[in-house]
Amino acid sequence: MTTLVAPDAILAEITPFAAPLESGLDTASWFDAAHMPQAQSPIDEFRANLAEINTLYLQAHQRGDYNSTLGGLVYLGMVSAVEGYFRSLLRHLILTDEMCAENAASKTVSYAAAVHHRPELLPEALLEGVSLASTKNIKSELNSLCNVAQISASLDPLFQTFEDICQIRHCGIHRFGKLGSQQAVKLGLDKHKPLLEKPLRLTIAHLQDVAEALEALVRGVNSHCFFDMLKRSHDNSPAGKNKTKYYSTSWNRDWEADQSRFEKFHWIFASTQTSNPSKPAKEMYDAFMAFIAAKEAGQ
Amino acid sequence: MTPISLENAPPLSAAEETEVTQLYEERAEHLGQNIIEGATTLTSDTEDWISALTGTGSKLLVGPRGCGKTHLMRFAFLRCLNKQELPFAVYTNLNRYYRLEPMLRRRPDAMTMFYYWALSNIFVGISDAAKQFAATASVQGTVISNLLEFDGADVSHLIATLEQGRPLSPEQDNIAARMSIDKLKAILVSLSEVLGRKRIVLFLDDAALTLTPEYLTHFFDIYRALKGTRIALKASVYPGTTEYGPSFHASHEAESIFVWKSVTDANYLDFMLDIGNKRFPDLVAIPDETRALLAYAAFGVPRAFMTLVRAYLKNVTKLATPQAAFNRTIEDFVNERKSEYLTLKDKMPQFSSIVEAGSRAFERAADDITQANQALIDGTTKQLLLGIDPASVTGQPYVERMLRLLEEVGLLYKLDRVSHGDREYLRYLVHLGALQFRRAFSRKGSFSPRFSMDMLQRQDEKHPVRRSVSTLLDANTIAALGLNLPNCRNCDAKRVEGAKYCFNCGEKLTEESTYDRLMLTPLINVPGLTKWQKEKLGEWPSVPRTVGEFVALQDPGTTLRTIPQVGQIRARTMIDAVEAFLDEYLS
Repeated sequence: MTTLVAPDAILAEITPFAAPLESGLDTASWFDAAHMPQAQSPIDEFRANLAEINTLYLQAHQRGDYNSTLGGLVYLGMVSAVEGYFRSLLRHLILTDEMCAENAASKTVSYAAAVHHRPELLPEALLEGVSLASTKNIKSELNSLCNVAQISASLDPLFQTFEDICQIRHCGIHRFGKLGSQQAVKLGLDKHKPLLEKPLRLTIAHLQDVAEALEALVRGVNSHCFFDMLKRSHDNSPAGKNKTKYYSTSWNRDWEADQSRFEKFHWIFASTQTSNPSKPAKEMYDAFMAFIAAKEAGQ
Repeated sequence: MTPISLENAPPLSAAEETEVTQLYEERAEHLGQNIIEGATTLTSDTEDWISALTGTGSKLLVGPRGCGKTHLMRFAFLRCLNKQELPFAVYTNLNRYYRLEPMLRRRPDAMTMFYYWALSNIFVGISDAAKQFAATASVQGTVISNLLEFDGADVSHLIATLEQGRPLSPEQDNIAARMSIDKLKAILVSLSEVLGRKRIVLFLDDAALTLTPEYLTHFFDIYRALKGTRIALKASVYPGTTEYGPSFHASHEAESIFVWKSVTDANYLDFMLDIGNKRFPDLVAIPDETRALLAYAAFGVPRAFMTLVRAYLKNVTKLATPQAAFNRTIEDFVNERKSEYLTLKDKMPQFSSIVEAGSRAFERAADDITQANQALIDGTTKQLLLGIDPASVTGQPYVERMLRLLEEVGLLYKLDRVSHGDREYLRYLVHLGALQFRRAFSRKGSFSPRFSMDMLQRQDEKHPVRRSVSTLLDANTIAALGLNLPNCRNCDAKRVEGAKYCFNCGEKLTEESTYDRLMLTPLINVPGLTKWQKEKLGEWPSVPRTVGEFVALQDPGTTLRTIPQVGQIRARTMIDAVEAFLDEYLS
């Protein structure tokens, strides 16, 4: 009878596994080098990402293949889609909007980004160190880059829900879905204490609720941000009433003259997908002009 | 009363104006306070209902349209105003909630807007009540306005802005953000102290919010949070509503007070006739038996009784015999009830096949009860009860919904469950108008109001006509019962019930706004407009074509007065008709 040499008895038997064939992985081959950034507005990019994720679990459910592990992964993807939206929105605003560009000017980017990024992607590097899967960080970036100090209070319940979703995302990323004590405290101990260390069990109804809550937040912020910044582009221009002039030019109040500037700005916030698209630029421009006129008449 | 003839009235006659005014006044919210007090019938039921309103504890006032909920609340308000020992009362009507419905489909923050809107409306109610109570208690106006914290006019503007779906100004955003449930409670408590009242009652009228279950849920969260040791909430809702959202359990949170008089109550006729006498002096012109039959046909709804009486008086002048007048009145009335019920298909398109099935089940039930009465015609009893086998209803959400919708519009009246032998039947009264229309209480070929009235006053049969849903509806209809959901607007894939996103394309499944759709209704289709008015509106070029365009007018009166022969009063009656259409149809 042969006896195994001691190290083998331990190392080969406790968790045996075949040696991987690749000794080092070629991570560069994992990315789509041929990908060209699509001319999609942040909101359309978000819609497309969310729709893709939605079909993943909804169709799995239809085939009878859905399980909560897939649910947990889908969940992470959804929050990631929201993060992606905010990054894209801020990047486009810095590139297009005079005030945002000015605010970004004093911020620092890494040397590698400065040297290697194409100019239109450089703003993305500004946000590299920041996680946007948190209400606090989103609000602070909107404030420091877009001067949106106080986004409408009407969005607070949506942000609150988002914050809860982010807390649970934390469990999904770091604890394979089990509820940790810090998250339980943040979500409310009264209801969550009995659930400590219990795993997430998301149904497709839960996931649709999450998708809806996230889409509501993104669309709500998108609308309010559009409106806030439009107002500011007038109020803080030479023709506006505010003392601080973030903008060097005023709106001409003539479609022909304003068209190019307005369309660029409108594009950032507009959705051009076939279902439920945004109103065309001209219509929004007219509404904006009517709003300014009504405000001036009221003063 | 002058005879009314609407058919051949080229210029608006004086009588026509009277008619429209009267129609208008049948809705209690338009009655003056002195009329309310004089015209309120105080039977023992009404006394109980009013005590429930002025007393402690949360209550849900349950009854269909027209059964007098608003009237009771306004009466209870006045009683509180005039009696120092009663609580400080606040009345708020929420029937304009549907103006916020389009927002629900387009604005992710609509719930917050609704919250602002609901609290603002309650605030305006508080402010109005405080002023009236202060006047009777000789409290200085400045004391009250200091306690109110918000300016009534500002808050009213905020409400208007929200109802028009316009963006809030920074000032309005600021008011809205400061307006909280806790703040309203604090204001209520300090006002009640200054006014020398120990308790507070809040009357929240028209809180059924039937077209927007999303807002209903949210509203009952507000209801729950507003309750306090000294604050009692009383909300009026329709029968059949059982879901007030996940955090509001109607049976725990509030006591339901049924204010819909049952035709089986011993004092039913006294109750109805008393109301009729007080609000409709011409009632004496109608023979006793006919009057009683009309009261029965109204099925416990005072407003319906008044509609019947008015229609009968009109028909009697036009038709050869009282019999013809009576039959025509009942027929028209029953048709109106039916079409009112069928409007649910427009208002809630997702329920259209359920509504359709409900209509068939109702007709079948009315036929069966009629047959049962015909079999009893020479006997000593009558049969008004339909008993449905609960096994055919429980756990069948669409069947349950079907019955609830029939209750909501007042075609079925649900009685308490009673066990018959070993089985508990769900017991319903079927609308008596529909039974009278089928001559359930008449001998074949004869017309005797006396006989019908006597039969209606007989004892009830011991057991109901027992049916199960499968005998009321054919198998195909039952099998096909379901929600009517439009396909995905993006990819046209069939919708999965309960889904929020399309399984095929992943896009959000969206609902159409009922309000926006109704705004496309041609103006000339508005019920309540006279034939003459419809013609004029149709042919006059400067008048808008749709209800939506009309509502958007800055000053609809001026526009209407461009029509020849339309002056202040006629313009007012037309505007009222459109507003009544919106309020009635959408509430």
